[in-house]
Amino acid sequence: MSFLYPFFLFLLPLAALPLILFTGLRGKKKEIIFSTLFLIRREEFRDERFKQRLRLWLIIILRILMIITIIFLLARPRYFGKRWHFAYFDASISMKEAKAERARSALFKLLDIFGEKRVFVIDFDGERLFIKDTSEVPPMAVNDVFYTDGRLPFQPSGKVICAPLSSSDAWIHLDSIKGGYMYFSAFSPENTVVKVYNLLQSLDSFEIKAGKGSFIYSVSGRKMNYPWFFVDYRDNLMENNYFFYVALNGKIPVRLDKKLMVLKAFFDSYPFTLSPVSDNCVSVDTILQGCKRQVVFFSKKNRGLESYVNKAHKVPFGKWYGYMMHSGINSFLFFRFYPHDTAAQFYDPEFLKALSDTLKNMFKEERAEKNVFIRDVDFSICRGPLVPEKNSVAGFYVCNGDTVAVNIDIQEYRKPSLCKHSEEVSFKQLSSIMVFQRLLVYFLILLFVFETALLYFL
Amino acid sequence: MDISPFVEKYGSLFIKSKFLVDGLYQGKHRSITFGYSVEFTEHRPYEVGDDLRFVDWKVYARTDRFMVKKFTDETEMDVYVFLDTSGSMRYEAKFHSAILIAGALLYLFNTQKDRVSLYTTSGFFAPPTRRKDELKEMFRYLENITPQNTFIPDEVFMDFSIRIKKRGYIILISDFLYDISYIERFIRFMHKKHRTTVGFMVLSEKEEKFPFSGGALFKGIEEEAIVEVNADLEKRMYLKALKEHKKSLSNHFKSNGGKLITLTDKDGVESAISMFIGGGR
Repeated sequence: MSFLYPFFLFLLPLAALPLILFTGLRGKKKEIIFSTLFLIRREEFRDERFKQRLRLWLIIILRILMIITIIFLLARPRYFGKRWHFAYFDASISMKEAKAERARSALFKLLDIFGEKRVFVIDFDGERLFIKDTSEVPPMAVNDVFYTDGRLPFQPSGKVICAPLSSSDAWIHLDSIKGGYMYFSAFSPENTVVKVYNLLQSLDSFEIKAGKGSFIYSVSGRKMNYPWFFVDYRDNLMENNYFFYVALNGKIPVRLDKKLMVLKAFFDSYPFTLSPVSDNCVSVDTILQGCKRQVVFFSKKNRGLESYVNKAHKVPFGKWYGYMMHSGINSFLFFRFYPHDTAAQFYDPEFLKALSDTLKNMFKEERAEKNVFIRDVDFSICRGPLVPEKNSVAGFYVCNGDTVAVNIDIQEYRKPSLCKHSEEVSFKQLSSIMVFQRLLVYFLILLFVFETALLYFL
Repeated sequence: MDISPFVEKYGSLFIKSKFLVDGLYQGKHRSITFGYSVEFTEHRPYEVGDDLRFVDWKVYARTDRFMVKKFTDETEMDVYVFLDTSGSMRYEAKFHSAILIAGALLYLFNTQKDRVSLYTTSGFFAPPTRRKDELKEMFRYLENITPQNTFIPDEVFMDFSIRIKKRGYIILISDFLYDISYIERFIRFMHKKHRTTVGFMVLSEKEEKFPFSGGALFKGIEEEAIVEVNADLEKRMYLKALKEHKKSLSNHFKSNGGKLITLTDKDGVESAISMFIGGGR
């Protein structure tokens, strides 16, 4: 048994409080002059007197136990036995050469640290996918794992969370006390994702369903002071595959002014003379004709999207316009076009590459000092009106109408220390914490009931 | 107990008793015996041996039946007030209430032209009298008495029962915190002798509620012994014992034709006297 917050155990001496109060209050016996001793200490109540003394001590013991239980609840005990760690090794195209090697070495390092049998590795190279030590895969509670109902956009729910292992694409599962979701690494081919899902679904109580569509940013709970993760899923039209990404809620200061200047320069200088790459795409000229030149910034205030749109947070942005949203996690640059097919311009590979490079360079310097790296810049498209989520910070958009929105998501991650959390909590431990918590709460209720019964009914 | 402050405030005990009684007592007691009087109560059929003087001839004229008239007999009574002046009555304001009750009842019965007598456990006895000056002598004694020492219930009740000559009321004013068998014997004996015994159990608020806590050394006023108890633990048992004691005491009074009135020193004595008067004999 170990504790997540062991410092609460320093409060354990408080458990002696009922005893101290009882013995301390007794102190020196005071002399009381009474009319007569006729009714005091009568022999016929000897048994009753014993019962009362027993009752008093029982109450004291119950109170001591209650204090200990509350302290244990605060300290959050967990199972000290096997620790299970999940590692997912991404062997996709983006993980070629040096990156892949780095990830592999990190993974082996993990195996050394945690012991091979305790690491559950999902590895795949190309089409092959295998699991090490599947016999020792720990059971996971359904409620502890995020799931979707298969419809899109889905909202992940559950409590299993993850964190990046290193700057490579190797990741490790983690859990945390206050919620979060299981992760998947990014940029996997569709069939691989499906395989991973299928594999995970075959495990006990592990329900994950995949689908395709747009995504929803769930922004609730962002103000909490613990690392907050979310898993999302969306259809990346650019690469025509599925991917999941994990965003880390680190407060990364972004200098919007600087960002804007760089972006403005980029848009001003970029030669939008590309021809459509397919029949679905239109020329830049078409886009420009339908555009209004606006850029709207969104800050982390608790306001809906529309309130920002309608206000004067508009910045001329070269020949382009859009909404730029700063969420604190990532920077989202929303471009909104009428009609929707004008967005096709954004699928032009050269345009995207140029934009991506610009953004990467822009953030690279300012992130490097803060142990944050830019994972990638991804683009997604969504058709439909911009629908502000009520009381949301970042808002979201849903494609069910004519509007086309393009999201340029600059994914950046704080480089983690080598899994400080992973050493602390695993799936198994999370489960054990929850079980312990539940048991302790039940025990506390039981103690309370007993004490009440002793005080009032016996 | 020193009641002089009380007397200073309200005047003499006599005045206080008068005040108490005049306010509460509005009727008069009646004898259970029937005799010759002017107050008609009921008819009953004539039986052989009945005095023809009491045949109601008017009823005979109307109904052609011989009916005999019955009358309430107003008799004089001896009222013996027994006052516990032992040390335990010194506790809190018990004695204060006790002498107020005693005084009020003495005054009450004297007003009704009954003969009143006072007996205390310290040996004082005033024979039954109707005379005001002797009554005032009793009040003077009550004003100056201080409860002290202990008494042996068996001997005291024996002595008291010897002094009761005529039938009537016997009023015991005490805390009754001693062996119930003495009282039980006494009231049973009195009942056999056709005397009615009424008890006023005067307790202090602390005796009634036992508001003590923690470890304590209890010392009785009358006892030499010191008892070490945990008041928190003892409270429940003490209250249970007190409740049983009261219940048992009350049963003894009731089964012998009397009744027990309990009060604490924080209650007004008016309610106790009111209960006594309102409840009849």
